Amino acid sequence: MADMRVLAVILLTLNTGCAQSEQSKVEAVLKQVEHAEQTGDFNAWARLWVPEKSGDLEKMRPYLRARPEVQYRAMKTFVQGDQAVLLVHAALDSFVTMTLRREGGQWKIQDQIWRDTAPDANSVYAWCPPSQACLRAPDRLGSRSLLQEWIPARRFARDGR
Amino acid sequence: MKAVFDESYLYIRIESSTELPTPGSTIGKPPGGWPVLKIDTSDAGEFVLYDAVNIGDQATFDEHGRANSHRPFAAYSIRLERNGHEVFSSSADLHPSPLVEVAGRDYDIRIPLATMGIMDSHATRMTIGDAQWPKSAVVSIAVQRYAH
Repeated sequence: MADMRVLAVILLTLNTGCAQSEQSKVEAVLKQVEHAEQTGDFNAWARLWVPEKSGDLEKMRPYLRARPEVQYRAMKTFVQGDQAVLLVHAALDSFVTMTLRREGGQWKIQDQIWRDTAPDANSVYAWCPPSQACLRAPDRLGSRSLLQEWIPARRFARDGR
Repeated sequence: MKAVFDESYLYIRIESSTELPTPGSTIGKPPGGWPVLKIDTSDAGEFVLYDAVNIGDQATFDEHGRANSHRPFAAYSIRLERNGHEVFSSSADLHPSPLVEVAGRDYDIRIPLATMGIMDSHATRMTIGDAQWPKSAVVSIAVQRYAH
């Protein structure tokens, strides 16, 4: 019995370690974004994004100038499988929510949304809902099947109204 | 309106009396008239849920960058607030959303319980009412927990 407890503790530790490791990798991407923007290195910046964004990113090439003052601070990092969300404080009144996807073992930025107020820390659970791909991941979002999956009719059978 | 929750989500279904336009489809006048909802939870306090159908605009542009055509489309959106601050928002329009879905006469919303700070819903009690809750005039539901 004691052996089982030791095994459980080891497995839990390993699991926690893996989660922390992935969290560190996700936050390392943010550091790379910061460095690329500080130095104005467009190619390094563009490599941090998922491949399907390359067309849109290329339009940004003329506008990416070195900005040594850029600083990003991760406020919250949430990793779920191959999806992750980063809540980032970019400047005094500037915040960005980044979604990332792991491809071939590497974390890539999938999307980002800027705002001028701090996002709620719990919003990460809406960006990466339980048992779902992150928002804007069209390959996982079959319409009718999704509805049938998340609201089986029997769930309402005991509903009062 | 119907609602139920399990270990992960609060599911809300708003049933319209008429067929609803699918997200992203061309519309003239948006359906609606649904009440702003208040969600009262035993664990995490009170939240306000705004649900609406807005009209989006999909435009095409000429070589000078001027819009030369417009298409109004249905954009369904939800916004969860606590103490007047946004927790999250999501919309189904030209892009789908895993949290908002419309099919036939059903407008389905699901809210991850974790966004409300509920990590274990076993002992959670939840009530949904309209903006006047607890003196609800339109709707008031004691939400049942669904056990797998």
